Amino acid sequence: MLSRISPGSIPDELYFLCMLHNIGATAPEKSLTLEEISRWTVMKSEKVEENLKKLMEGNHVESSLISGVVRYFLTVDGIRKVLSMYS
Amino acid sequence: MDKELAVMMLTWEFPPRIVGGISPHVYCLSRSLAKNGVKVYVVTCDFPEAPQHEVVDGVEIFRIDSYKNPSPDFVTWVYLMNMNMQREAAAIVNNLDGKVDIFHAHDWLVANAGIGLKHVFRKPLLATFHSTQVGRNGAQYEYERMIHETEYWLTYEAWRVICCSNYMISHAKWAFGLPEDKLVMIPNGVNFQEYARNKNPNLSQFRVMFALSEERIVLFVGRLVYEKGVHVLIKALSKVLEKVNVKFVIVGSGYMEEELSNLVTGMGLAHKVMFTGFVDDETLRNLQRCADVCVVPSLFEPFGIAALEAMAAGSPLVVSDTGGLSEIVEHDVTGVKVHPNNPDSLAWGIARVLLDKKYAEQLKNNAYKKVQEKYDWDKISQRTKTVYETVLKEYSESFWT
Amino acid sequence: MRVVIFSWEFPPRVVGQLADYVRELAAQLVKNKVETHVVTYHDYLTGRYEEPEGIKTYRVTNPVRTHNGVLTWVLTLNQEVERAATNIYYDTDKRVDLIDVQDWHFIPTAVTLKKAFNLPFIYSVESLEDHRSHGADSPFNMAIKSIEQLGMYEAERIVVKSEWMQDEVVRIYKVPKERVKVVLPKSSTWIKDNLETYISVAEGAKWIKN
Repeated sequence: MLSRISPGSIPDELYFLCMLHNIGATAPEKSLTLEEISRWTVMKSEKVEENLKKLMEGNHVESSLISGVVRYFLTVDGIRKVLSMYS
Repeated sequence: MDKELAVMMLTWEFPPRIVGGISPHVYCLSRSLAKNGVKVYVVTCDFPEAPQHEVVDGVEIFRIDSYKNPSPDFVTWVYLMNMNMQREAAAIVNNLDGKVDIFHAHDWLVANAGIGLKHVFRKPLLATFHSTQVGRNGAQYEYERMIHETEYWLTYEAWRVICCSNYMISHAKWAFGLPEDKLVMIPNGVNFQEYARNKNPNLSQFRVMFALSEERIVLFVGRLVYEKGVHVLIKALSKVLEKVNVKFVIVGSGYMEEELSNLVTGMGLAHKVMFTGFVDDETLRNLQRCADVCVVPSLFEPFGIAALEAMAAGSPLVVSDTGGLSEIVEHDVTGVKVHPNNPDSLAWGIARVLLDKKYAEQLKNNAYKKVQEKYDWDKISQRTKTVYETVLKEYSESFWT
Repeated sequence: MRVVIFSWEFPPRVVGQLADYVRELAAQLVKNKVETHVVTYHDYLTGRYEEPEGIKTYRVTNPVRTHNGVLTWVLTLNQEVERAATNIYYDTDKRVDLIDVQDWHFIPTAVTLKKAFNLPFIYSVESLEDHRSHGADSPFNMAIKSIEQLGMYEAERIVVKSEWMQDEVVRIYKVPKERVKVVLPKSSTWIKDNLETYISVAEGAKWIKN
C-alpha cells in the first residue's frame, strides 16, 4: 500500500482524486461544487478546474447539474482507482 | 454447540466493492460458512448501486455510509469510517438481542470497529491478516508507523490471528512478536467451480480483442503497486521477445500505472503490452482461461490468490519464489518458480513454459488437481469454523460469560 | 443514580479549564449521592482509582502511540474509553443511568454505547470547532464539526455554559432551542440544574426501556 501519498509522488490529478475521496464526494448526493472543493482542498479554482477536467476525461469524476449548480463526484471507476492506491 | 454459531465479519471491501484479495476472500468464506451451518453477518462499506441491506447466498450483508465525515487524509478516513461502522454494527447487534458469538475483522482497516465491538459486547475477536504494513512498505515514517501500530493493537486484542500462509505466520511472529499459540494458518481458497462451469467455447473471438493470433498471451492480474513486481515483468519483456512472440496483458490498476506505462513506451514496446485497467469478472475469467501463461512476479506476497486462480483456470503458472507463492507452487510440478526481482530469471521461466507444450500441459494438469484437493473453499471454511468453535470453548471458560 | 462522565482532561492532567470544572462537578455530584465515574485520559497513570472526594476515576492511555494530529489521536483513544466505560457498565450489572460527555472528544464512544445499550448521553459543550478554528473549513475542521454534529444529533440533551453558546449551538448546528439547556457554572443553582438535567434524561430513558 502506498500509505503516504504525497504531492509529487503520483500525478497531480490522482492526488487530487484521493483528496476528493477522503472528503467524501463519492456519490451524486454527496457531490460538491467547484467553490466547495476549492475551499476544502485549499487549491485555486483554476487548478481545481484543471484537475477536474482531466479526471472527467478519464471517467473518474462525473458532474451533474443539481438545482442549477454544477456539482462533482467520483464515479465507480474513480472510487476503485483511489482504493487501489491505498491497498 | 446446539444453537447456530453467529459470526459478524467486518471488512472494508466486499463485492461489488473490490480492491484486492480481501473482497473475494470474505465473500467466498462467508458463503461457504453459511453452507456449513454458520449464520454470517457482513458489515462493510457502501458502494454505488449496492443495496444497504441484502441477503446473498445465505449471507446477510449490511453496507454502511463510509463517506459521512470529510477527512484530511486516508488514515483519518479509515478511523472515521470505523466510527460509523462500529456504531451501525452496535445497533445491528442490539437489534439481534446480542446474538452474535464472534467478531471477525479483516486487516487493520477495521481494527477500531472490531476492537470496540469486542469490548462492548464482550465477545471474542478474531483477526485475519491478509498483509502487513511492514511487509508492504516498512514503518519508517510517522504515517506508516501509525498503520503498523494499529495492526499491532489489533493482534493484541484478537483472540486468534489468522494468516493465510506459513510465510505470513512467521512474518507476523516477527512483525508483532506474537506467540505461537495465538497464530493459526488457514490458506485462502479459490472458487474453482466458477471456472469449471460457464465454459465459453468461443474464446477465439474473445482472444482477438487482446492479442494477434500469432502472439502468445502472458497474463498478469493484480494491483499495479510496487510489491506486485509488475516493473520486473515489464523489464523481462524484451528478453522474452528474443525467444517467443508474446503480448503482455496487464489487468488491474494502482498507483504505478503511469510509471509502468512510461517504462513500456520508453522501451518502444507499447504495441506489445496492453493495460486493461479493471475488468469485470467474466472478462477476467475468460482471460485467465485463454492465457498461454499466467505470471505472478511479486516481491512481497502473503499468499497469492492470482496463482490459485490461474491454476483453477487451467493456465500454466510462473511465479516468484517468495512468500505464500513458494508454498502454493511446486517447481516443475504445478508451476515454474523463478528468482524474485530478477527479470532474466522471469524471462527464462516464461519462455520455458511457452516453448515446451508438453511441459506446460503437465504443469497445468497437476496444478488443477492440487487446487481441487487443497484449496477448495468448503474445506477451508470448515477449518475456519473449527477455529471459531475452539475459541468459543475457551471463551466459555473465561469470566466474560 | 449512577453517572459516567467522559472528559479528556481531569486532574492531575490539566490542559484548560475543563479539568477543574469536571472535578468540581463530580465532587458535588458525589455529595448529592450520585455514584460518579470519570473516564479520562492520562499518558501513564492508567487504571481505576477512588479519588479523595469519592469520585471513581478510570484513566486510560492511547493504544496507538504515533499520530499525525489530534484527530487520529482522539479516534484511537475512543476505543480505550469505550473499553473502560463498558467495564463500568458490566461491573455495575448494566445499571448506568447516563453518560455525560464533556466536549467533543469522546462523542464516538457515547454514540456507540447508546446504540448498543440504549444508554442515553448528555453532550456538555465546552467549545465549538467553529470558534476554536475561527471558522476555518479544511477537511480537518469539517471532520471535527461532523463529530460535534453527531453528538448534537444523538444526545438526549445538550448542556451549555452560557446563553451565547446556546445561540451558537442553535445557529451552527440547527438544534431546536428546547434541547439546549443553559447551566451557568457560577450560579447558585449550578449543581441543582445539572442534577435536574441528569434526572430528566435518566427518567426519560427508563420510560423508553419499559
